[in-house]
Amino acid sequence: MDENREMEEKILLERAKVLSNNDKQDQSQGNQKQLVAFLISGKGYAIEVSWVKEMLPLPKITPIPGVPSFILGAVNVRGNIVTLTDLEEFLEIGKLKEKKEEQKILVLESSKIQTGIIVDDVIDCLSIPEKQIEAPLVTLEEKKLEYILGQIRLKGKIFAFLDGKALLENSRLLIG
Amino acid sequence: MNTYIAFRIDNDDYGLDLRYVKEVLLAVAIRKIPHSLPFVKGVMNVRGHITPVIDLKRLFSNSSSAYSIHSHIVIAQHQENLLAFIVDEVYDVLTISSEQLQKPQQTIPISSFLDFVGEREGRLLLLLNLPKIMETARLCSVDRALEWQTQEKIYG
Repeated sequence: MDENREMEEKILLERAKVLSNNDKQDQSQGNQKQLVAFLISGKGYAIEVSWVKEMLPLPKITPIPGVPSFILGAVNVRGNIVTLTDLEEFLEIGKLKEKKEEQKILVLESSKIQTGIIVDDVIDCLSIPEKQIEAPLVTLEEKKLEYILGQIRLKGKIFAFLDGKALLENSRLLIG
Repeated sequence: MNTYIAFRIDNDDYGLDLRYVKEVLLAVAIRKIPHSLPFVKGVMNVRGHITPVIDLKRLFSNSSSAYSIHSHIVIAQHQENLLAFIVDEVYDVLTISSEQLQKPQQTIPISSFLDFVGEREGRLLLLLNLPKIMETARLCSVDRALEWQTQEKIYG
């Protein structure tokens, strides 16, 4: 009985030692990622800042005939024609229900394409250590996993961390 | 709608609003503090943060909860303050709509430590009022602790 107690105390002490180890190095040296967090239909998404070109109020959208349903149309951004993508429909999560005046467009850009996505709100622009990015839910469908690198917790809400490279260098978004 | 974690201490079910919950850990060794109040189990070091550990059972009743390697510790955070609770197990995370919550009756002796009383599978969940518990724990200065101990000696 006493042996058991001794063992228990040893284990408890060992755990306390591990827990008290404050790895400050991890916090300072870990790679930081700059992210933009935004909401679409109440769901949180985040993408690396480097893919974001600009953010604009929702301009007038000109529909384009004969395109996949996730292309909402084209808008004129200071003389440049930018196509608008419905991100949730592209990811097969849902469909943009309504267009509201408060919505914004987030113009994403890669070397290959430029596209705008309609977002309800941009929550934050922040830098977080790479370690804080959790693995995506294993229950996600493979198709979505292609575009979702992981998840991030922010103010008690979970944000899907989008893979900008997969999203923007994807031939599905290139039309014509 | 609020989300709560449900945990068990001995045979009692409690809940704590998820927004207060920082983490749940396996039991660790706790450093006792001399002259602390009986419900203050001691302090622990959580990655550099010295966190007081509270025995809720001792706070709410006269008996202490069993503490072994199988116990768990819930670390709660409110504003800048951290507080750890000893629990047997955390068994659920559940969402309860505000209509299903009831304010505890004043006649429940520990009602001041409770926010609401909820229900899960026919068992009552006592939902803790963390700021109030923290406030109580904060007041455990040496003076008050000594006073408490003297009273205990006199009255039982």
